[in-house]
Parts: sequence; C-alpha cells; structure tokens
Amino acid sequence: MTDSNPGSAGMRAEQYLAPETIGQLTSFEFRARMIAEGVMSGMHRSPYQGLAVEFAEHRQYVSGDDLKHLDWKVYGRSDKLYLKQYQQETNLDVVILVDASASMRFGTLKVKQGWGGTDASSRINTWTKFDHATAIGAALCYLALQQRDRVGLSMFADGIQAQVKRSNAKTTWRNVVRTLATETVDSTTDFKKVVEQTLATVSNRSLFVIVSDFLVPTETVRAGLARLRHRRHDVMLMQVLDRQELQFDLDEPSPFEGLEGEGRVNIDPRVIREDYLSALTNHCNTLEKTARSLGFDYLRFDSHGSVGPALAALLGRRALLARGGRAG
Amino acid sequence: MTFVTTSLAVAGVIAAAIPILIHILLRRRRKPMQWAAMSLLIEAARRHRRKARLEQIILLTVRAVMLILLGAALAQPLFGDRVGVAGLRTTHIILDDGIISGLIEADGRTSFERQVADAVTFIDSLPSGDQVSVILAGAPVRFLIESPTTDHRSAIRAIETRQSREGATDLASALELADTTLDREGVQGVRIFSDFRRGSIDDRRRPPILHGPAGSPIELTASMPINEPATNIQVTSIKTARSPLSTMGTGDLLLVEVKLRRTGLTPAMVSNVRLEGDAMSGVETRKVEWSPGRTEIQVDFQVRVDTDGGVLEVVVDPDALPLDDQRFVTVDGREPTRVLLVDRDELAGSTRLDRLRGTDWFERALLPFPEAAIAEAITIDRVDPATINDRDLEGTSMVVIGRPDLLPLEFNPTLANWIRRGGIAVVLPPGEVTIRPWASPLLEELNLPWSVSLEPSRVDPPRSLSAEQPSAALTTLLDAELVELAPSVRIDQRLPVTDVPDGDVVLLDDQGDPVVLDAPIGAGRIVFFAVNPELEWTDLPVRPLMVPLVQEIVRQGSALSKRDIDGVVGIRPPMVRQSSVATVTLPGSASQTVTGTELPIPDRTGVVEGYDLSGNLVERMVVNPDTDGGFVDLLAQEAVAAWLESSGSWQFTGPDAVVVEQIDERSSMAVILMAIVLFLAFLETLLARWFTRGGLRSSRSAGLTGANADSEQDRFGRGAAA
Repeated sequence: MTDSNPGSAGMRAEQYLAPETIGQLTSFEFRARMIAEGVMSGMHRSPYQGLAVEFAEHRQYVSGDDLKHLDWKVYGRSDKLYLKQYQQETNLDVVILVDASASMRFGTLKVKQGWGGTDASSRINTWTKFDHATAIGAALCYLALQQRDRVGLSMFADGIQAQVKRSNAKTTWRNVVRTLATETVDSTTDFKKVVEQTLATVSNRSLFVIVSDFLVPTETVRAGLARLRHRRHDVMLMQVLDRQELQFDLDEPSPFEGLEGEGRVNIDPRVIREDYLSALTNHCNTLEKTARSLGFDYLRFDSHGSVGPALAALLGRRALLARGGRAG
Repeated sequence: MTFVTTSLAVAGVIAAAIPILIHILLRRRRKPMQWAAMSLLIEAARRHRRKARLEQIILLTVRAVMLILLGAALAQPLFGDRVGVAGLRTTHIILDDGIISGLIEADGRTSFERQVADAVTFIDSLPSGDQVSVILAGAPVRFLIESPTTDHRSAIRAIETRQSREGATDLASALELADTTLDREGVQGVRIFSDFRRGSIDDRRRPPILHGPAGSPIELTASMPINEPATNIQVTSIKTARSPLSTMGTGDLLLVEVKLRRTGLTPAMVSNVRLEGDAMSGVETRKVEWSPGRTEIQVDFQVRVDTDGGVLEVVVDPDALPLDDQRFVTVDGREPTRVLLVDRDELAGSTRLDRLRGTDWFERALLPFPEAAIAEAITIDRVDPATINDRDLEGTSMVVIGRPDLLPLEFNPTLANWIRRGGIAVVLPPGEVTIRPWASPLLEELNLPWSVSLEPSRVDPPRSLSAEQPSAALTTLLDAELVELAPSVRIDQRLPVTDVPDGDVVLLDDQGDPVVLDAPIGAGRIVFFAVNPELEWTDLPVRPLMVPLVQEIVRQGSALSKRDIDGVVGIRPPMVRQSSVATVTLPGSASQTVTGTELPIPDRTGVVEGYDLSGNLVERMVVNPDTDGGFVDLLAQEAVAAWLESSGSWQFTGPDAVVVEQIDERSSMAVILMAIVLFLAFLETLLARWFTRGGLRSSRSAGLTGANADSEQDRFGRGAAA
C-alpha cells in the first residue's frame, strides 16, 4: 500500500470516482484509496464504524449503562428503557467475488490518453465492465482492510479462477491487487458452481460482495443466493452494466456476436430496442426482487458512471439499518 | 392491358428488385458488433422475429409495388379489351422513307435519319423475345424485313443502311402490306415512324381496316406529327415542244416549259432555275421571284438543242428538301414523223375523188402541199394489211388502218403492244361490207369497252356534225374552230358504236352519236373513226375541217403519247418505245434484260439507257421524283388521326416514346397510377418509421440507469458549473 496522497490538490472526492478519473490512477491501491475516501466523504459519518458492525439485540436498561445506546423510539412507544446492542462481528469476514467471465470484457467508453485500467482494457482502448468491477472490488477491499476486517477475494467465471484467502494481514492487500490485475477469461459464468466452490472454503458467517453483470439466468442466481442464505451469509449484489447495455441506443442494423459463444444474430437495434429494454428491465427487476426477497442488497452500476456515491449510499443505508434506522 | 412503352413497364418490374438487392447487400456488409447481454438480445429478437419478418415483407412489398406502378405509370397503360403483355409479340414497323423524309432539319440530319434513330431506339427497347418486321413506306412500298424476327440487331442494321427515296410516301399501301402479316400468333402491333407532313398522306386513299389474328385488336402507334415548318420548292413538270419555226427549217429551237411549286412556308423570296443537259450546249438560268403566298410559277426557256436529241435537266436552288430540286426530260432527235397507211393498194394512185379511200384522204390531209417544208417532217409509207408485221411498225409514229378487217388476228397483240409503247393507231371502218367481226378482237386486246357494229348503216336523212362538240384532248386547239367547221360536214353513212364513255368521244354528229373516238392506251392511243372519211360516207374529206383535224391528230397525238413515257420513282417505269431495246441500265443498278415493255418500277431518279443486242445505245429514258410526295406543309395531329381512323384507333407518341395524348383513358390511368405511387411512398415512410421505432410512439423509452446515474449527472453538472 502506498501512502501517497492524491487528494492534496484539494479536488472533490467524487471527481476521483468517475471512470475517467479512476482510469488515470494507474495502480489499484491508489484507485482503492481514492474511492474509499470518496465513499467516506459521501457517507458523512465516520467510516470506521466498519462494514462488519451489525445490530444484535435489545437489552433492558440497567443503571450505569451508557445513555447514548438507549433506543429512544422504543422508549417513546412503550415507556420502557431498552438499549440497542451492536455486535462487532469479529468473525464476519468479507468475501468479494468479481466476475471475470467473457461478458465482462464489454465496454463502450473509450479509454483516453494516459488512462491505466487493466491490461485488457488498455489493449482495446475501452473501459470495460471488468475495469469497473475491479475498481469496486478494490475499493471495498480497501475499506474492509482499513477496518481490520478479514477480506477474501475470488475471481470467477465458470468456476473460481483466482483466489485470495480471507485475511486482514498486511500482505492481503498486495495479494488482492495482484489478483484483481488478472484478465478476463473466455468462459461463461456458472454462478451455482462458483457459489458451491466458495462455500466450500468459508465456514463462518461472511459478507459476500458479488460484483458481476449477472447476465446469467436468474434461476441460477437465485439458487446460488439461496445457498448463501441457507448458510446465513449476508450478500451484496453489485451488478455492473455498460451504459450501452442499459440504454441500447444504437441506430445501425448490424450483426451482434455474443462474447460467451452465443453465436451471431442479425439485428436492427432500432427495431428490437423496446423488446430488449423490456427483457433487460425484467431481468434486472427479477434479480433485484430475488436479492430483496432473501434480505440481500442489490446495487446496479453504470460502467460509465462514478463508483463512490452509490457505494456510499449503500454502505450508509446498511449503517443506518445497523443502528436501527430506516434506509432512505 | 398493354402499354405504349412496354420497356418502361419492364424497367419498373426490374427496378422492383433494387430494394431487395439493397436489403441483401446491406445485410452482408455489416461489421459484427460484440455484445455481452446476448441472451437478452436473442430473447428480444425471438420476440420480435415473427413481427419483424411480417414487417419486412410488408415494407418490401410496398416498395416493390411502388416501383412497378411507377414504371407502369410512365409506360402509359391502356385498359380495355387489349391483350396482355405476356406472350409472343410482333411489331410491324412502318418506316417512312418517301421523298418527304429527305427533308433536311436544323441539325443537318434528314427527317429520315431522325426517324431511323427513333426506330432503332424503339427496337432496342423491345424485350429480346419480341419480333419485328419492317416495311418501307416510300413508293414502291415493300418489306425490308418480311418475316418477323427476334434478331433486333440485324433489323437495326438493315434500317440503318436505308436512305430516303424519291418516291412519294404511300402509307395506305404500307398498311395494306402490314395487314397481310397481322394474322400471326400473339400480340400484333403496328408502329409508324413518320413526320406526317402533307406529302406523307394521300387524301385520295384511305388506309385499310387492320385485322389482328381472329379479329383481335392491334396495338396501333404512330409518331407525333412534326411541328417544324419548312419551305420547299420543287420542279413539278417540264414540257418541251419544238418551236414552229423549227418545222419550217429555220433551226432546232426548243420551247421548254418548266413548272415550279412551292409548299410549306411561302414568304417572299428569290430562287434560281437552271436548265442544262447534254441535249444543249451551255446553261440557261432564270431568276424567279416568289411573292408572299405564291405557290406556283411557270418558267419558259427557249433553247437550241442538238439534232440528235438528249436529256435536259432542270435544277432549282437547293432547299430543305433537295430530292425534288431537279427533273429530267428527254428530247427526241430531229427525225421526220413516219406515218404508215395500212390499206389495200389495188386502187392506189387513183385520182377520182369518189374512188379515194379514207387512207388516201389522210395522206392528202397530212401533206396538203407535197413541196412544202412540212414534207421534211413527215414521211408516209404504205403497207398491205395482209402482209404487215412488227418490223413495219419500227420507227413509226402513227398507223392509219384503212382495212382493219383484213389485219391478221395474230397481229392484234403486236399492234396493241406498239400502241402501248406510244404509237398512235387511227382505225377507219372498212369501206366494204364485211361479215368478219374485226373490231371486237382488237378492242378486247386493247381492253376497250366499245361495241362496234358489224355493218355500217346508211343515215337518211343525212346527219351533220354537231356544232357543240365535247372538249377532247386531241382537238384542244380546234375547239374554237369547230363551231364553224363542224356543222358543214354531212354524214351519209356511219358505223354504230355504243358503250362509249363520254371521255372517249372527240366528235359527235347532230344526233349525239360518236363520229370520232379516242382513247389512251398505255403511252399511245387509238383514234377510231365511226364514219370513214370517204365521200361515200361523208363529205368530211373535202371540208375545211379535214386537214386541221388530221394534223391535230398527229400533232396532239404525238404530244399526248409522250406525256407518260418518263418514269416516276415508285409509280411507273420509263416507257421503252424502241422494240430493239434488249437491255437497260437503271439508275443505281446493274444492266438488266428487258422483257416486253415492262421495266421494274424505279426507286431512284436519273437517266435510263437502253441498248440493243449489239450493245448500241438506242434509247434514253428518264426517271423523275414523285413531287406529289414533296408537300412539306404541316398536318395537325387531329387531321392525321382522322386519316388513320379507318384502320383503327391510333396512339401518338413523342420522340421519347411516351404517349402524349389521343386517348384520355391512358393519361387518366397514368395519373391514377402516379397518385397511387405517391400514396405508397407516403405509406412506406410511415411504415418504415413505425417499424423501426417499434410503433408510432413519438418518444423513445430512456432505458435503464445505474444507481450511480444521479451522481453522474451531479458530476457533469458540477463540471459544467466549474
């Protein structure tokens, strides 16, 4: 980890979180640090309450207890004094799963002169979904390690491609960075298998952050998430899609070729745009409902957009929930 | 249904393939785009596939139909009981190559060259399976390509080698010729390429009704009558007559009477007329001043000609139509006129007036003063009718037959042939009673309708010649004198002749019965005396009328017999008057053998030379243009349509082969088709927009956004503010 401080120029944290800004931060460490600081700025609270702070239970007040933990809402409703008890989950690890399948190679945002990014994106001069996913993953790893949480990382496609064991050791960050620097593979995504392989290495309750485009059948996602739920793990789904995928704003008829070997189809985008957007909306809604129904968080990222504020909002909401508030 | 310009309709059908081709080509040339959310795309495509296929078919159909209808609209469809475009189609092209087609236009091309170019374009536009035949409408009308052929290139080559001829356009005959070929299988069409000036239309004739196979209708199309005024001066006739002085032995002066005609525009102008030729030395020129509106002028020349005769040529200044700017005429050599008296010579030399026969009186009338100069101009020979043969007729201008009843029957064809070549036969009734029907075989040989009695009849009381005589060509110069001279002639005996057309009577008696008859036969004529000029029959021989009557028969008869000996392109060949002519050379063709008096109808002007068996030049004849075909006046489309109407319903097309008008039905149909095309174009635009936008929604859905969209906007907003 480097101690250099890019924020010394007085730039707003959000400005560092845009892809074009992230791209100019040539090392993952640098990117992660900038994003994390941007996230902290966006939460407007001390970031060091940590990701792994979890609301546990209410306990009746006894004299001598710190009044700041009183649940005033319960007192207002029942005239009884209860304390909110938080549990610092020392055994709640953070496992970040980053999708490295072929579909993550897609991107339409052109890389400008001087951008870094992954080796793959540099080669095709395009900011891909994989670039965006690795930036998110790095930022989350950085945040977790800052709180001394144990962090594990897996790159997956049709199985686990690369892995960093959970640890909060100082060397973990190096391993994370090295692993994130891997390239996408040509394989498809086998979500169920990935979950099975991951669960085989995780015994204690963990927070799984899955960064993927989730362009797989929602049934397989549901099956995988159900397995995680069954093991009482917490999950955050971070779906990364390119803006072109989200808006499908193409005008010229052309053949479309799948990145994961789906073959070639001649399509007039103008003609099927509505049907495509309908299918995409349906897919994303199903995914979100699946996540919500299992009590998990879901966040959709536009790879042309900034990373930090959305992450900050999510983490802030989680912190609010942890304090017994309601997510806005 | 059929089309005026089928090629445009076919082009429309072919053009219908263009959108299909574009569709196919564009499909294949797109660079593939890699896509991650392929499963969603495939799912969307699957949803849309059936609908899209239907939409594409609808769009393609609309576009193709639009182009087909556009082609059809430009091709001017005709509806009704006309046959369809499919199947065997034969177009009979009638090309006007008459003298009028030699008109030189502003661009230096002749009218014929332009019509040929249009015809070539038309043939080129025909589908390869269509057949064409070609008829040349300049007289003599004939097929250029008789058997319809699908070899369009050879048809075009054949047309392109043609030139205008100097014969008049004979569209009626051309259509008659076309009618003989219209009973073929398949669709039949006739197309006339002509400027339809006045010279192209012969108002005296009407075109025939054209019948298709089994009475089916025929597509009749003609060029739009031209609307380019022109002026044409033509030499319409040349008449020659030896000066009376020449008969008196004072010289070989020839009076040449040239008639000029002007058609088309008639402004004030000056032109020159030139007379030249090998019959004279030097060139005579006259300046002719045309006042506005004047159409005819006569120019007289008096020139000294060679005693051997020859050819004279009259030429006017070149104008828009040069083919009728010159005309030829032959001038006979200065030789005495030979008269042959055919009669028994048993009483020859008798001086008793009452014993003189008709031939004797003829001889005296021809040579009233044997010592006079006229004796040099006329030689008289005698021959017995029983021994006469064709050699006796050689070089003879007139035969006076005193005993036609004694002529051998087999001589009648020879005599008839000689008359047709320009000879004058004067037939006198036999003075003696005969039981042999001598007249009818000769009259039948000459195709005359007259009925001549076998025996003469006495007239009691005697008749006289009527003071009012019909106007006859033979006695034109005597008309003024006949009132005085005719009534004094007494008639005691006559041979009744009936069935005489009015035009054949020269002299009548006071009872209205013919006394002298005259009929043209070929280039010659027969003069028949129903009253023999003998004193037993009449006192005509001793009356003042006798000498001028006989002299006029010789003079006018000779003049009249020469009237139609010149050939006219497309109408008649020149007359071969010398029986010794064995071969002739026609203008523009090789030497050919003469069979009888008939030569082929010439199609070029010029001098025809006749040679005997020894190869000696024995006769020169000329062929002149048919000036009746050189009227350059413009005709209105309605006039042409009215003339053509008897053959069917014609359409008129402009040079671009688009029907201009004539039948409202087709123009209104074209308008309707164009309206449909416009509607389809609008519909296609709407449909294309509808299909590409997924419907008629005015706004597009924005698609999905990411959770970071707000911050994105926020970021850009701040950036802009900064």
